[in-house]
Amino acid sequence: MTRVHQALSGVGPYDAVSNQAQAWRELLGRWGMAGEVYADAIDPRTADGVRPLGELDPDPGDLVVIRYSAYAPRLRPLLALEQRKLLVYHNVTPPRYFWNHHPGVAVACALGRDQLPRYVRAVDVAAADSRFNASELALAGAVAPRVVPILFETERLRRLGPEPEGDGPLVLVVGRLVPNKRHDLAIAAFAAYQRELAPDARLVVVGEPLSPSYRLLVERLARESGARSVSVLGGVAQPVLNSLYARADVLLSTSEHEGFCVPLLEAFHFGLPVVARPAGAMPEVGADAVLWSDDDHPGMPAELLDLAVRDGELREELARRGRRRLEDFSYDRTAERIRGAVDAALA
Amino acid sequence: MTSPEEAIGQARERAGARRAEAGAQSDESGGLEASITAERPSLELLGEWSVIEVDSADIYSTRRGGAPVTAFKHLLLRLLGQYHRQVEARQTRFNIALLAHVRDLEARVAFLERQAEPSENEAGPAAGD
Repeated sequence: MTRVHQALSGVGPYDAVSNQAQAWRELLGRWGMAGEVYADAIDPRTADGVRPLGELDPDPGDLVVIRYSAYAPRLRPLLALEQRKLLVYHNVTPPRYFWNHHPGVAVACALGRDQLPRYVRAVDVAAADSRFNASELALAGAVAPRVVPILFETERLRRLGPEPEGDGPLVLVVGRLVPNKRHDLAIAAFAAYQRELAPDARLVVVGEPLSPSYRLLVERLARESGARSVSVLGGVAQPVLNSLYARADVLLSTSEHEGFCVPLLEAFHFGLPVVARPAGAMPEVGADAVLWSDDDHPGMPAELLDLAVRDGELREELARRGRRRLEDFSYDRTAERIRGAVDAALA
Repeated sequence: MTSPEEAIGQARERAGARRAEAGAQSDESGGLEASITAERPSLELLGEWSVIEVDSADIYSTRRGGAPVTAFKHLLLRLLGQYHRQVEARQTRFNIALLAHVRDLEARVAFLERQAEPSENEAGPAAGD
């Protein structure tokens, strides 16, 4: 029996790549192909069901899926395996965002982007989770890379945590606290919105920080912006995030570099309007269901936040379009794409 | 009903009007823009990076109830402080010396390029080029 094993450089909580590995494993299990998930670095908070990379010992007929999202020297020996290999590229952030904030991560990003062609050459099939990422794969030498979107399973979005407290329009920002997400722009947009249009508005920022000092930097930016009622929560458990999605009035993303952006789909699931910057893969995921702000000045996203909060009919239309986007990214549709990539890699 | 496309147009217009009202004050930038580097960092930035300084706030544990682990790591840092200061100082010495050489080379290249320019003009295009 063929098993499909997945290898990652690292797993961590609140991480889209780690979640994908688990979602694929479940799906592969239904097809009778369940393998294990292996990772080089395993965050103690996510040890369940993930085995150390050194234990990976596939049978000759097995398939090895290499999820590539960072420099991973310990993944490199996998390229020499005789087994069939499928590369899934989740994007590696350009290092320029990190040199000043976390040189170690910047080095990993620089080397990760640099070594991508080696992985492309060594695998049987190369895939990416968005057209944006597939274009980077093509630049790295992949011929006709496949696009296999994020497998969006909604089961984890069902359980709600405690109801968030407070009144006033709730603006939600979801995404790791890292420089390419440009939380500074989100804070500036919110500050303008609160100052000019909605004095009782609140901002909640959710996301695992790059480092404790980077979190302090984001908190300092919030204080200096003059905005009130800003909460930087860090990473939160899924039910807590679900409650925030359910209670929020609008999701705001000012990210500058995105390989996919799962929070867009999560917001659509909760019928939440989205104001975002058309960066990276976001336009192909959000398409016409997002209020796109193409101006870096905080004024435009602030006005869009106001419209998204106040205009009921606009909210309904955005929710309707969001549901249509969810059909395009439905579990079954993506499962078919995954099956196609797996079969092609095994052929 | 306001369609999303109309909403985007309206927001752009209103933001533009508000910006015009506020004048230059509204154009102030800040945030993280300055901290995001170009693909190739400038010599000035390399100068800043050449001095090795590690922020001990970023030495921590992600484990649940990891405060004692964090405290232990900080204790180890303090105990090994003499060693780390030597490592940092030696690496910084090397970086600064190397950077000084790079600056000298850049200055020399610039000087030679300036010198080469007029003589090329005088000579005209070389035959067979």
